[in-house]
Parts: sequence; C-alpha cells; structure tokens
Amino acid sequence: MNNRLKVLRAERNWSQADLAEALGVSRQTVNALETGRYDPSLPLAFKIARVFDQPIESIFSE
Amino acid sequence: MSGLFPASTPEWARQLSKAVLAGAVFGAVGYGVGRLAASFFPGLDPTLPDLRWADVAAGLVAAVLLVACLGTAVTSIDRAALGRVLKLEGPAGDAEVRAVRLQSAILGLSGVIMILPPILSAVSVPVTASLAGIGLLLVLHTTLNLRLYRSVDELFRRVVVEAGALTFWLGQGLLFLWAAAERLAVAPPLTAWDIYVVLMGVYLVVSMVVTFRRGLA
Repeated sequence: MNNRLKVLRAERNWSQADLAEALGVSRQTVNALETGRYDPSLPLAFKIARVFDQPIESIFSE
Repeated sequence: MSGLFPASTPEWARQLSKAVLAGAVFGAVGYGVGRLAASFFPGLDPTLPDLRWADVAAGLVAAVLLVACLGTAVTSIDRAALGRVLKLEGPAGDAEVRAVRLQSAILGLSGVIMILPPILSAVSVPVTASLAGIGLLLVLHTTLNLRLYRSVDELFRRVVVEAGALTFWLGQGLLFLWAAAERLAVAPPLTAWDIYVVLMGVYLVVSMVVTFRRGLA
C-alpha cells in the first residue's frame, strides 16, 4: 500500500517527532509508515486522517 | 568504518562485513575469557564428555544474544548514533533510549537463561537451587518482556506477533518432519532441550528478519 504521509508532513513543516506525538506512536513507526514498510491498523489510519484533516482514501492508495 | 568500503558496496554487504568482523573480534575475546575462566575454575572442564550438539547450539544462540545486548547497550550511550540506527530524524530521545536499554536488558537476560542449563549441569550446584534460579530469572525475563510490550506502539507489537507466528509455522514444520522421521525409525529421538534450542534459534533468526523488514533496525 502507498501513502502520502511524507508529503503531507512536509507541507505542514512537521518533524517526524511532531507527527509521532500527534498520532501517539513512536518516531520509528512514523518512519516505517512513510517508507512503506508498515501498513497502519485501521484505528491508526483513521487517526492519521483526522490529524491531516483528509479522508483516508486521499492519504492511502493501493 | 564506512571509509573501508568502496562507495558502490551494497548496504547488505557492508552490514555483513561488519557483522563478520564483530564476530571475529568477539569470538577471539570470548575464547580468551573462556580460557581465563577455565584457569580460575578448574572444575569446569570445557571438554565435558556429555556436552551435546544442543548445548553447543545453545552457546551459539546465547553468544549472539549477549553480543546484541552489548551492542545495543553501547549504542544507546550515543544518542546521535542510536538515532541513525533507529533511522530517526535527529538524535534519539529519552523514550527511545529507555526502550532500547530495556530491550538490551532483555536480550542479555535471554542469553544468560539460554546458557545456564548446560553450565549448571556441568558444575556441582544442587538441582533444586539450579531450577529455582532459572525459574526466578524466567519470571524476571517475562516481567521485563511484558513491561516492554505494554510500553511500545502497534508497530513493535506487530513485529512480535509476526515473529511468533512465523516461528510457530517454521517450528511446527521442522518438528513434524523430524517426528515423522523418528516414527519411521530413520532419525534419533530428540529431547525437550534439543527442541527448545532449535526453536529459540529459529525465533532469533526470524525476529531479526522481521525487525529489519519492518524498518525497526
């Protein structure tokens, strides 16, 4: 699965630590998500959508 | 150390070279420490006649765990280096250092627990005391593991679950093949210790693969 996390984070000028804190996960998890090594659980995907104020399907794609 | 390799060297080759070099250095140091220990404890004969292949394998698994323990503990001293190892933007923070040190303690304890049964069987310690000691260490190990599991997020938990599932799948396959061969009288019977050591060896390899694959190291 692909995602636009890195782009969305860069647009907001957030660090990995900022996003990690907003999501309640570790910086390693943010890195693993951005590099496509890990697909988030459904609750975390919803949380990501809320943090970026975008629908899930505009952040994640097959 | 990166200056030792040509720029075109793939990352896996660099990591493998470093691992081999570290193995050689730690192997030599371990041999020296072993020889020294043997001179201090003459009763601990390193050429024990009842030393079995599973004991040697347990020693190998324990050595890998103890080296990993030492490596992570040393890396956790330098926050910038730890940040690079964990692939973070910038140096590691307090929470990351704490988590890595807890993992280091668990790795070290795992190594000690792994090698204790062959050592205790070779020295004259009462069996009850040996079992009680191993039991206490196992309780401590489980407590630390639970504490770590409760403190981490879903990625780390996924790695633990995936490693456990893969180990079960591989382990049951290997065990079935051996059990079938044993039933057909073409393979010697195994002991619980043999099976445990193989299982832990498989778990060690699988958990390293899953950890790298998920980008945790």
